[in-house]
Amino acid sequence: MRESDSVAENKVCSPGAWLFSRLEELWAELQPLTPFGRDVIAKRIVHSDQEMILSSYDDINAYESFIRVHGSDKARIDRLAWHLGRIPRLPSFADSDIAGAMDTEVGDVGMGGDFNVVELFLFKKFLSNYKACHDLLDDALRERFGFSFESEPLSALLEKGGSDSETFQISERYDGELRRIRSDIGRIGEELEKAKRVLAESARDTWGLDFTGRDFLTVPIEKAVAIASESNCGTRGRIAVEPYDDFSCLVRILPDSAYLALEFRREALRDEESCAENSIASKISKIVQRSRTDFERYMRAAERLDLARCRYLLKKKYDLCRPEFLGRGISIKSGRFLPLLQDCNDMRTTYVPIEIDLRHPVTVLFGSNMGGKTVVLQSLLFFQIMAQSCLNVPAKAFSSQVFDAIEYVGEGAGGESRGLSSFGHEIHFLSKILRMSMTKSCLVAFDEFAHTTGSEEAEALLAAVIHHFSGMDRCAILFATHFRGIARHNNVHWLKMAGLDIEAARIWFSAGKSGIADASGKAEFLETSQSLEERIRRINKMMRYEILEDKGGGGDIEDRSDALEIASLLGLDKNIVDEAVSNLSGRRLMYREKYPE
Amino acid sequence: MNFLNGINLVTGPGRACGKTAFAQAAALSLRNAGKGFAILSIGVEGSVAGREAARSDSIVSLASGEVFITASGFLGAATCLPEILDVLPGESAFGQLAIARASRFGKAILAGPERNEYLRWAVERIVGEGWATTVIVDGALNRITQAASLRSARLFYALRVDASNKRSMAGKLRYLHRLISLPLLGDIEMDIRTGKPVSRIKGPLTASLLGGMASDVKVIVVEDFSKIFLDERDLTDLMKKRVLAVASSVEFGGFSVALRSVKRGEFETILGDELKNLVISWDAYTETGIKEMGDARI
Repeated sequence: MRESDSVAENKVCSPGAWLFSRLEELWAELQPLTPFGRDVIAKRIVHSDQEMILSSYDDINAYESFIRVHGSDKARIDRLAWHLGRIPRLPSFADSDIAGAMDTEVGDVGMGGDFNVVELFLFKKFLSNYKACHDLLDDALRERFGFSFESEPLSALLEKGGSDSETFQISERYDGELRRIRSDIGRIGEELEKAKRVLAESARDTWGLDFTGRDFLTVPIEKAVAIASESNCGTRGRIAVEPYDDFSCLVRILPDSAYLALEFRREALRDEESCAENSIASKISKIVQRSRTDFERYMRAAERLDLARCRYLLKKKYDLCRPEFLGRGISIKSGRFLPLLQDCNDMRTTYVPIEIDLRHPVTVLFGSNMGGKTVVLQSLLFFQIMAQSCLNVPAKAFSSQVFDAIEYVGEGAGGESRGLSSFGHEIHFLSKILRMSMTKSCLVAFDEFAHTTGSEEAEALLAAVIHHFSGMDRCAILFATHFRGIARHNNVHWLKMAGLDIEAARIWFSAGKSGIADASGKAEFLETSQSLEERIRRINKMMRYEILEDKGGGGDIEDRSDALEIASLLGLDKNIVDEAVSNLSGRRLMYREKYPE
Repeated sequence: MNFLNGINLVTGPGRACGKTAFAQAAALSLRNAGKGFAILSIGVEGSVAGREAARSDSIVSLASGEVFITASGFLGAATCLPEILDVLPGESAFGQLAIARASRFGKAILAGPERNEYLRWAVERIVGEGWATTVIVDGALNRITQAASLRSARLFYALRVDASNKRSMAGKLRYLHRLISLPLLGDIEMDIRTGKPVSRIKGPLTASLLGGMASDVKVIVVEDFSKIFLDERDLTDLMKKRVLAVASSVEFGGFSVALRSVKRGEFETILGDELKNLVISWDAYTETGIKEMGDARI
């Protein structure tokens, strides 16, 4: 099966999960060269057929081996890309009645199965470039992709039409009769040109009219009237005159009987030429129709090679690794969430690669505001969707399973448009996922589930949902949440983001808010009036984007939310922050230590 | 020669403005000078009622080696023995559009892509593959935006003038002349350096956009003149109060004016000296028309 045929596979990943993963930002970098490859990439297919995914990885590896062996021959690689890029989309065979077309008598034109000249051109261009690719590949790659070429006779036949390997017309080389007809048309054309020249010269000599290739002229009315009166006598050549506007007339040379006879003869020959051309086109069409299965095989091969090539180029550019599908769990070593890495580069902040090893069906991730919980969910979906889109992933190692469904529940997932509130939308999605998970392996990211409802009820609901999913071994359900009062269950990973580096923040606070400190404690002085971007950069510098195990609310540090520190760092009025801190009596934020009077 | 090498886009203000006649006359002037070219139009008429009219207007004579764009449905009517060079993306009402080359003298029905990106693709193919170095585009009506989408295109503007519209047509010419004469961003750097507030407009400059602009903005920069969608009064008003400049210029080839029941001298007087010198064709079908339009005067 071609990847482009697997339309149903599109249902694996929901649009919400796709958008949330930010894979779209990388997708444009996949640049297939053939129309078939472009079709596949445009469909954004996420597969659930492990065999197909592994086969695609093998294709990438095969292409990589080819480059390893032949990469030093840059001209060969460039030519391969050039010819791949010139392979056109073929006309549809679908409406053609192959059997009927082959039974049709020669000359019975216009029946089903005949291709027009433009379509025959496309077959020629396809074969020419496909054959060139075939010749540039080595035996191993030809075998791997089924890149065979068995259309020499058809190729030679199409080669006869057109002045080079990529142009086409119904040439007289196909048929002696057509050659004769065209020769006659050419001869009559010369005679007509000669006759026309004589008439034009006569008009110039007689009337001073210079047509220079034009069929008519506009001349001043006085001159036109003089020409008309003399021309009507028939003694000085025949010119037709008709009014144009208040000051001028249109004049044109009238052909004589000899000229008209030649024109009629040429028209008759053109009809003969047209019949002969159609007959030849019909014959060629039948041969093309007989090669339908070959063309289908060639398209498959070109598509596979093209996809392997563009996926390999992405792998090379970002140093991607081949995922492993071990049946259960998700493990990432040194994973780089590329869209965020780019953001960090743009903002001149440090990106911390993700390390995670999930073996249980449920993962709950706590953390500060801006602490990176959502990014962890995004990263996991990003890697998984890449892997199931037959792409290598940006990590030192990535192992996972193939999921039947990948979903996202959270802000922007799309339910609001149906008039549901955020909570209504979440519950609607949850119900759908509960049903789905009865029969399918699901990867679902819940970002701040039930955050719009009261914390006590939200925690109770979350605990029940987590408990339910903890028994679903074939699924991976991820929750990022603020709610820390959730009852703990087995078979669940309880994780947290390391959050704000309190020591670094303390140094910054004690520096009188005029400098920022990174994790090393080194202060960097900034202007007092800072843009939001600068403040975010400062927070990012003080944030530790590590995933730690959460032991369960026993110690003071476990309950720390960092929200007020972050609000302060973002520039919120100090009086408001102070009052919020005093409202939090009994909590251990130690805020006043950081704001000495 | 005015048309030799490069991309020549002919447009005009309405139906029967003379742009097709001018484009075909430009082709003839090149042929008479022994120069090859490619010629194409924009779009293919799809309505049944418009078919015959569109066809008759779009039929061109072509000599061997000349390149054109047609639709597969028109190939049967072509007598110039077309050789297919490439096929454009997409479909038209008359089948796929193809770039073809005439193998003998004859006629063909012109067609072309309607979408600017396909137009650019086709022109780049023609020039890039070396099929022709000179391209004539019989452009769409009122679509000077095509000039910007075709990189380094030379714009020609054709209009038909009769006794009833001579003053309004002169106004159109004057308006377009003002647009093509707008200063380049580089020319007004002094204004920018002296601290005048500058507004750079991405996309079209419209009256409503202008209305919402802060009054202290003294310099407005648009991408190119085809992005200006202001009527003459609004443009005049704007240019009295502010500096209007373009980030990139479009090369202007000249005006084609087809006069009907108006004497050339009379219309030249209405135009004035500066504008009349920008007219490169007063009627390609007068005896000296082809020779005049071939002169490089702009």
